[in-house]
Amino acid sequence: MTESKLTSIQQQIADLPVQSRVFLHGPAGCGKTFAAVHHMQALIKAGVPSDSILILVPQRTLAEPFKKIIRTPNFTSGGEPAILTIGGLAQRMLTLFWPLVAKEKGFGAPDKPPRFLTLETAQYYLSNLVEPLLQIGYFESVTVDPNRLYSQILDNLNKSAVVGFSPEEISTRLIQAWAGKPSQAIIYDQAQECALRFRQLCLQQNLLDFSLQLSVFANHLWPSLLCRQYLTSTYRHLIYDNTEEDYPVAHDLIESWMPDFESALIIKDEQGGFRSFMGADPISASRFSKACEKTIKFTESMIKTPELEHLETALTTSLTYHKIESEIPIEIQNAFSIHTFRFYPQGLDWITDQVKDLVDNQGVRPEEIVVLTPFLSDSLRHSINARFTNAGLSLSTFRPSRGLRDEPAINAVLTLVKLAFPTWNLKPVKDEIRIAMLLLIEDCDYIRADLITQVLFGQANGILRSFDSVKNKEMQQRISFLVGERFERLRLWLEENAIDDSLELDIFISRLFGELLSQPGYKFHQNFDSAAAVNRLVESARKFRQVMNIETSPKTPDLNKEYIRLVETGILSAQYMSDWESKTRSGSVLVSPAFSYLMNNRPVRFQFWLDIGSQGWWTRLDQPLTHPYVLNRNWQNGKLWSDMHENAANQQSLIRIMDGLIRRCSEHIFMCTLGVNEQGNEERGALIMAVQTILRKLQNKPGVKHV
Amino acid sequence: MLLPDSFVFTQQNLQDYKDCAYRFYLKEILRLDWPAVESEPIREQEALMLMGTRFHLLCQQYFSGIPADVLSGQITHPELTDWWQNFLNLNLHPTPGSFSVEKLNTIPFGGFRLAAKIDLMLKTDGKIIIYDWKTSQHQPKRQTLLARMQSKVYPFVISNLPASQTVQPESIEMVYWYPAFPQSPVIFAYSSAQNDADQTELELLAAEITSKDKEAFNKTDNTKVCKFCRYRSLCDRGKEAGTSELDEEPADSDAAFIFDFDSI
Repeated sequence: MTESKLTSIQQQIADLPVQSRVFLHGPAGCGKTFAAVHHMQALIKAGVPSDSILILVPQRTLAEPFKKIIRTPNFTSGGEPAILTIGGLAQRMLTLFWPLVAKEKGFGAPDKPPRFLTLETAQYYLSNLVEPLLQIGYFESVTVDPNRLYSQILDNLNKSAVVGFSPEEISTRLIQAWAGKPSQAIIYDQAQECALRFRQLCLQQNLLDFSLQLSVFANHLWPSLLCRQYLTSTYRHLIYDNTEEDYPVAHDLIESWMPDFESALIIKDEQGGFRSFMGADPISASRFSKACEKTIKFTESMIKTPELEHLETALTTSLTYHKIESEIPIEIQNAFSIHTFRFYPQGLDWITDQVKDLVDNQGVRPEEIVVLTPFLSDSLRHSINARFTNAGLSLSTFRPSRGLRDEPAINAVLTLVKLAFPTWNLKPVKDEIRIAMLLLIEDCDYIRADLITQVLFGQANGILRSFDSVKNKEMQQRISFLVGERFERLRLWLEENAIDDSLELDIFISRLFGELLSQPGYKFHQNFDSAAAVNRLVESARKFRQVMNIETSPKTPDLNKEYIRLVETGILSAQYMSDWESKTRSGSVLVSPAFSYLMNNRPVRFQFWLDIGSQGWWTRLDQPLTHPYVLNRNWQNGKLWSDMHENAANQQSLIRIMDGLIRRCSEHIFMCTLGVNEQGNEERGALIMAVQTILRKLQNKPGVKHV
Repeated sequence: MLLPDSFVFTQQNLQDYKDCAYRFYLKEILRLDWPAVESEPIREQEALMLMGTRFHLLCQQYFSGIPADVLSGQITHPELTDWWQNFLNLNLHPTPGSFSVEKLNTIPFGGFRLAAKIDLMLKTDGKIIIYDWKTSQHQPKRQTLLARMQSKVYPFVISNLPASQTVQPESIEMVYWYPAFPQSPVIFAYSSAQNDADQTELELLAAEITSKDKEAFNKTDNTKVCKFCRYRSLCDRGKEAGTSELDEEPADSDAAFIFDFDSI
C-alpha cells in the first residue's frame, strides 16, 4: 500500500487538513477505507499523536486494513490508534468508571465488580428465569427451539438499547405492528415480561449483558463529567468506518461527541446495512452528512470489472421490477456462469473440481475463493469438507452459530468427564463411549471401540471396567493388548483424578488433555485441530465459571453439571466473529453463509453461489418474539406490518446481499442451481427467478454461452 | 521467513524464545492452542492472576480521576486492601500530561515492531520513571529480574520513542514495584551504554529469529523449563505440570480489557 497507488480522489481524502470533518460515502469497493487508512497516516505525519486517533467500526474485523498498517515496521513510534466498537468502548468505560456509575444506576452490589455477560452466559441466566414459566404455559403457541426463544428475548432487549427506547415499550411496539391473530399479543407480552425479569436480575446481581452495558454507557456514563472528560481528552481525532452497519444509539453518541473532535472522517457504504437484525441503520448513519462540513462521494469501483457492474445492475433491476427492459451488454456473461445439477452431491463434486482447477492450474490462491450459501448446515459442511480433503484442498468454514456440541472432539472429552464423575448422574450412553474410544485412543478402530463398549462399559452404573477383567483370551486379542493397555491407562487416569469432584471443570479438562489425551498413544497427540476444539471448551467453561463464581452461586459440581447441560442444549457457541481473521488467513478456501462473509468485508477473485434456487436467499429467519424492522427507529409506531412490507423488506434485503457480494468479487461468480435441494425439495426462490430473467434477456443475442 | 508481516516482538515472546525456541515457534508462528496446564497449583495461580488484574485496574482507575476513597470502598479482599494501601502510600499525584497508564508503546524494530505495555510512566524534571506493578507473592532476586527480557525491552522502547529524544538514557529509571513488598522495590537506572548493549542483544535476537527456518527452532536443552510449558506433551517432555512457587507474576495480569462484545 503506497502513496502512488492512490487515485486522485483518494489522495484528496489522505490530504485533508488536520482540522476537518468530512463525510465520505460511496458503494463498497471504491477504496474508501484505503483512503481513510492513508488519512490516518497523514494525520500522524502532520504531528497528531497516534494514540489520540480513534478508529471506530461496528465490528472489529472491519478494522483489519487499519491494523495491518499500524503493525508495519514503517509506522510511527509511540502509542497506537485505538481500534474500537461502540460496544467495546462501552465495556471499557464501564470497567474503568464502574465505581461511579454502579450506585447511581441502581445495581444491587455497587461495591462489587461488574460481571460482563457473553451472549451465552446471558442466555443461561435468562433460561433459568424462563424455564419455570414455560412449565406453566408461557409461549405455549410458539413452536421454536428454547435457545431461539431466549436469543429473541435478549434480542428485544438489545433492540431497545441500540434503537434507544425503554424495554417497557417492547410489547406495545410489537403488538401495534402485528396484523395477524390477536392471540399473538399474549406472546409479545410474555416476551416483554421475561425481558424485564431478566433486566431486574441483572441489576440485582451486577450482571451486564450487551443491552445493559450499552444503555448504562449511553445514558449514565457518557453524560457524566469524568467519563466524558476522559474520552474527549484521550481521543481527539475520529475515523468512523462502515457507519451504515452501526446502530442509531452509536450514531447518537458520535453525533454528540463530534464537536469535541479536532477532526472527523466518517464513512458510509451505500447499499450496506447487512446487520439490520442487530440494529444496523444506514438511514440513521446518513445524518453525518449534515454533521460534517464537507461531503465527498466515491463512485468508481476498485474491485469489480465492468462486466460485474453490468451483472449488479441487471440483477438489481430484475429483482426490483421482475423484468429488464434495457439492453444487457453481452460481456455480462464473463461475470458469471450458471451450472445446473440435479442433486446436491453432483453440485459439490463440480465445485470441488472447479476449485482444484483454479488453485492447481490457474495459480489462484485458495483465500481468493469463497463458496457461499444462504445457510451452512452440518451435513453440508461435512460433505464439502470430505470432498475438499480428498482433493487435497484446504478449507475453512465459518459459522458463528455452530455449537460446541457439534465438535466431535469436545463430545469425546465430555464423555470422559461423565465417566469420571458418576455421582453427577450424567451417565453416557453406549454410542458416546464408542465414539469417544474411537476418537481418543490411538490404533482403536470402530470394531475395537465397539468391543470396548460392549465388554468394558457398564451401562447401568456408567463405569468402565478394567481391561484385566477380560478373561476371554480371544476377546483380549480382538481388542489387542496395545489398545487394551491404552484403555487401561485412560481408565486409571480417570479413576485417580476423579477423587475431587469439586475441581473446576476447565481445570479437570486441561489436566486430562495435557496428562493423557495429548500424550503419545492417544489421538490428540500432535492433533492441532482437536487441541483447538478442546481449547475452546476449556476457555468457555472457565468464562462460565468466572461469571458464576460468587457466593450465591451453586457449588462447583453443580456448576460443572450445569455447564455440561448448556453445551448439550446447544447454547454455547464454538466460533465467534472475532475468529474470522484466524479462520480466513490459513491459505484455505472459505465456505461460509453469505451473510457472515459480507459482514467481514473481504473481497475475493472468485465466488461460488451454492443453490441459487434456495428460498434461504430471500426469506428472513422466523422470529415469532421479535421483529427487526418494527423495533427500529425508521418504523412508525402504530403502523401495521403487512405482507407488502414483508415482501418489500425481503426484496431490499436480497438486493443488498446481491450487490454486496458482487461488489466483493473481482473476477467471476459461479452460480449453481440444484434440481433437488439438501432436504430433497425442489425450490425456485427469488434469486433464481431474477437470474432467469437476465438469461431470457440474453437468449436472443449471438454468442451467448449461458442459455 | 516464517513470521507473519504483522508480527510484533514483545518482552514476553522474546523471553519465550530465549527459554525455548521451539516454544516460540509453536506459540508465535503456528499460534497453536494447547489447552494443557502450564504450571501448578493452578487454582492459586488463577486467584493470584485475578487479584493482579484487580490491582492493575485499581491503579488505572486512580489515575483516571476516581477518588481513592471511592476505590477503597470497592475492595473486600484483605490482601488486596493491603496492596492498595501500600500503593496509596506511594503518594503518586502526577500532574495531567506528565504520565501515562497502561499504555502500549511500539517502535520499528528488526523489520517488525517491538512493543511494551507500560503500567505507569511518569515524566518529572526531565526524568522518565517506568513503573511495573509486580503482583507476585515472592520477590525474585534482583539479578534474576535484571536478566529478564522485560528489563531490556521496556527501557529500550521508551528511550527510542520520539517523545524521549530529549531525554538521555541516563535519565530513565525502571521500577519493579511489589505491592506485597512496598519497602523493597527493585529500581535500576538506565544508561547509554546499557541502551547500546540492549540494542545489540535485541537486534541479534530478532535477526536470529527472522532468519530461521522451521527446523532451526529447536527444543531447549534445559528440560526443567518444560515442566512449566503447556506444550510439554506435544514435545514428549513430561505429563504433569511443574509446581511453581508463585514467584512469577502471571503473564496476563492486566487482561481486564481483553474481554469484549465484538463476538456477538
